[in-house]
Amino acid sequence: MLRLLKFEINELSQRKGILRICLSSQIMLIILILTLPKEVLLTVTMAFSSITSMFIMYALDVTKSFSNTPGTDKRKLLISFPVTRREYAFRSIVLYTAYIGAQVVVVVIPALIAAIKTPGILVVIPVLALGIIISLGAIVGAMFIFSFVTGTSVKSAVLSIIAIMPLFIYVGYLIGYSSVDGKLPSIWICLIALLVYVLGVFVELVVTPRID
Amino acid sequence: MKMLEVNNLCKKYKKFALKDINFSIEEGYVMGLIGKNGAGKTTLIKTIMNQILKTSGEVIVNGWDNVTYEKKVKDMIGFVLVDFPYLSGTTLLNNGLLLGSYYSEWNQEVFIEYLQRFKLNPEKNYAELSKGMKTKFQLAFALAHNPKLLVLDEPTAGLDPIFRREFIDILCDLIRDEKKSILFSTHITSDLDKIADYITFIDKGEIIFSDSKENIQDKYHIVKGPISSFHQISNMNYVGLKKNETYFEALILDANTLKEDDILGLNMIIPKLEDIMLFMCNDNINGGVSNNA
Repeated sequence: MLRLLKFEINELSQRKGILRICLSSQIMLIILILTLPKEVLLTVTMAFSSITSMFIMYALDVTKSFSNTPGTDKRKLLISFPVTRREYAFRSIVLYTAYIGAQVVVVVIPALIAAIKTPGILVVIPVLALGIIISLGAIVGAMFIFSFVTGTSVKSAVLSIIAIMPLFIYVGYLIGYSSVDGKLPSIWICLIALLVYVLGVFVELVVTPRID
Repeated sequence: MKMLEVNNLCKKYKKFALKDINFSIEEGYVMGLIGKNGAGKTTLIKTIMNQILKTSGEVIVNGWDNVTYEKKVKDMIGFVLVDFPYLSGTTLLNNGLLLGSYYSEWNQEVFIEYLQRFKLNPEKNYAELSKGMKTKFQLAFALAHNPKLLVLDEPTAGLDPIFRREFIDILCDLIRDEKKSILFSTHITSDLDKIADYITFIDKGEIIFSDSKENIQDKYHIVKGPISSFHQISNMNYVGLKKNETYFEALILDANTLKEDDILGLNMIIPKLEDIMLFMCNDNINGGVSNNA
């Protein structure tokens, strides 16, 4: 298991260009937050967070097929080596959950700086952060489920995003209105997202290793 | 000591099934796996390597079950597979560093030595390699972790004749210490004529025979003759027949039991593996002829 994660870190280190883009986007975002006027701050924060998160997604190989060979994914490759299916499932869960963590960092750090600079937008920040965590948690869970159903990572990512679209819309609605009434995502939407995540982890860890 | 034992192995798909596969390879021996396209060779190899899950039966590698002791078994197997995708976005050297770390006996220096021996640039990207170079790379990778069992799926397909010869020579060197075993699946049966000790012939997911090369050559013969002598083979145990208006050829089983009178006026020759495969697999050859084997 540790060897698999080490492998991922080594592989990630090969993508130095992507990592540099992630880092420079983050620095750029912080500079913008510190310099931009309050009126455009939220839009810029969200736009840059989205762009940076896309790069992180690519860097962590969440949707991209591992080998650039159609129909071949990381799982099929790695289980040919001394790696068990169960170990591979653990690796996916740790990696994709780390992806959520990375997204949170991307959103929270600029948000905190923005909040310190302009206390007026403070109410938007936790909603934005929580919304992204909820959506991503649910997407990761849904990806595992669709990956089990469809067998290919790209297709499963697309289907997962479509399936979780209502959740995205709800989170967008909350973000849009949070500056007015400070409303936070309700407990049931958090529970649904958590349920999708747990179900996805169960599928990845228990069901998928038992099938081809 | 048996290096590989396959017992009652079954793998069922909707339109294809491996049925009750049984064979074994002793330590230090080479088993050739032959059969036409779609016969089930690659499915069998993937099941042995636990890349696909078996439906029933067991696969034992050096005394260890390939599912219960999956990592240990995979650690003992070196493989060369058709178009196997290593890390295509990085160099050969990095492929060794990253993927070699999974093996307990990985030796990066040996890996680099083999790359140099096969004239592969370690700094070249895997995706830039030609088909033949990918096969060479796979062999270098497989040999760098000192495997006990080498599983080769069509390794010589796409190789130039010089490297094909070199490839066979490397395999001959490997088995010289009688510690390593090889399962060698191929269409190029002439490669097996040089190196294989045993042959397993598979067709439509079933084993037709699995025997030593010597026994196969003793058992099977090709009988040729003018069509007027065709009646002479009517009582023989033939498993394949090719005939036209003027002559016939038949693959005879248990030809060593025939008497001289039985084959009077006929030519009897020892078939190559390719001939046996051709007679047993080609429906056009056997078409319309009852098989009394």
